[in-house]
Amino acid sequence: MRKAWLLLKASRTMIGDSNRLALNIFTVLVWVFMGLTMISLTFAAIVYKANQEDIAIMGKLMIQIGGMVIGYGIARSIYTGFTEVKKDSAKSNFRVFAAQLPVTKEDIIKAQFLDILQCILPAVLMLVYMIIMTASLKTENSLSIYIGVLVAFLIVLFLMVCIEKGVFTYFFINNRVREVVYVAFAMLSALVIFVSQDFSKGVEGYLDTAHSLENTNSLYYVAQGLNFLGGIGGIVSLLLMGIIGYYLSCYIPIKIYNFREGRK
Amino acid sequence: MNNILEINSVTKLFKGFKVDNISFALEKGCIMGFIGENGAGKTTTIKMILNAVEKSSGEIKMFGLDHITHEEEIKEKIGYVPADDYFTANSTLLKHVKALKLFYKKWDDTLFNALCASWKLPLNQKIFEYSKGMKTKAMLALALAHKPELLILDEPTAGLDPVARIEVLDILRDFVANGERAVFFSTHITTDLDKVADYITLIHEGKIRESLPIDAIEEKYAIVDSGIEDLKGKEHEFVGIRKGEIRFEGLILREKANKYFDNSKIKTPNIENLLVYTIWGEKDEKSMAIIKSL
Repeated sequence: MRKAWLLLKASRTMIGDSNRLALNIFTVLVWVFMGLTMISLTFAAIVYKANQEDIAIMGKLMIQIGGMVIGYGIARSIYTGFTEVKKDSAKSNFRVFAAQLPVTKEDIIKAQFLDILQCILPAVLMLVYMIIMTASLKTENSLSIYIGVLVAFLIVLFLMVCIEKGVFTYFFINNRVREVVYVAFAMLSALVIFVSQDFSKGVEGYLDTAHSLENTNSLYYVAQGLNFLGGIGGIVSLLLMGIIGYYLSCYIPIKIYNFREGRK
Repeated sequence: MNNILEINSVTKLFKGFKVDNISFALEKGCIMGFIGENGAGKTTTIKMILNAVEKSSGEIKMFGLDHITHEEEIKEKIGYVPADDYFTANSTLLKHVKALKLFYKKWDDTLFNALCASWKLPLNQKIFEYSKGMKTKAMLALALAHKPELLILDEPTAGLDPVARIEVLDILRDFVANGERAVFFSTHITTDLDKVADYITLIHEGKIRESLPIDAIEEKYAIVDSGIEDLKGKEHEFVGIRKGEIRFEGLILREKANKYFDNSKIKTPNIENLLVYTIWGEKDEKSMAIIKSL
């Protein structure tokens, strides 16, 4: 694992301040908004003003900022040195650089997983914080549903990145296929941010409908599922996500490599 | 153990192309030139040596060790310069040094700084402002700074001006001078090999056509330059041949040249002759077959 950390450090050192300007601005914005969200949540907890209206406004803000933070993780993972997007567009070819280093492919695969983890760390931190705060506020279900949407969104994207960077590497050599996946990620992030403009009304609507119809409406179960993900169950789900992601992007590729190369 | 690099019956299958059962060895203290036309399999072979591309079968040994099971140990002793640079364009050489030195126990900053000073490589300038030659020199400096025992270079002199090329070749000569190190480099510029190479390995369409000491080229082959009338009935004896309306020139085994041609028409071949005629011979046959089929 030491070599994997070194690889990650080397990739960050090499890139240094050469990240895209847009990505750097994005980074600053993300951290500012993350800070704002956390402050506003903490403030809400202190003054105990978690009434229905405030929750609706807060939920909308959360979805937008959450989508941004998660999108940031994906953007970050595209532009880090480990990207295999074709050289001309990525302007970095860490794999060629790593070919000469006294490391094994196993180290490179592990470093790649660490890289993905590092990219989604801000989103995970923010969501865990939101979940804990919401749980401590003991609010109605609607706030948890907002967070549940974000948790579900993060889990789907994270697993897609893990599959793309791990297992897909062995089936889709053609970079074009993989670039399409990245574009899909970016569009999905943008979609969540924009759609959430009217999302709060939608969730309230779902809840009213679901409550009135009780267990007969399928939306009720969706709402319950999201409610679970937005609660303490979300933290467990995020942990499970990490473990499954490890298997998809790290464990299975290493097994394939070792099998091919006749290593134990 | 005199061989620093041994490749035995290595095969790599691709869709529509294969590196086919290649074998050769590189001794300590030697420089081996790896020549062939574009797409012959040179870079693939180098990538297989570095285990950046998995081989389909065969065995590669470096320093007497298997290149996969002892990958880390072996790579500690290898310096590599790829054909295309690996730099992050918006970063600086200094940042790349900081990244690279994390991995090597024998990293020598003094040596690296001396090389950079000698080649006038600015450490804090963005890489995209470097010329192709500067990038090659920078990669070479990075490859030499951890004191490798084997240098693997993929077309290192391409894009360098004549003075820089001579500088690089001198460095390679000095590098192997102690008899304990070796250089394996692929190139299209055969005149570079005339200056420094001890061995030549010629690859064509994924197969090794020749791997021999440079002195053996003139022992084994000859160039015949004569009138076209002397060629009658002997064309198939040549490895490769270029015909004009009046004269022809071709590469042929020396024993055959001595047998069929007058001594005054026989010349000593160089590496370029070996490369060009080996490839030309096959191309000529193929193009003739196409012409006949029309």
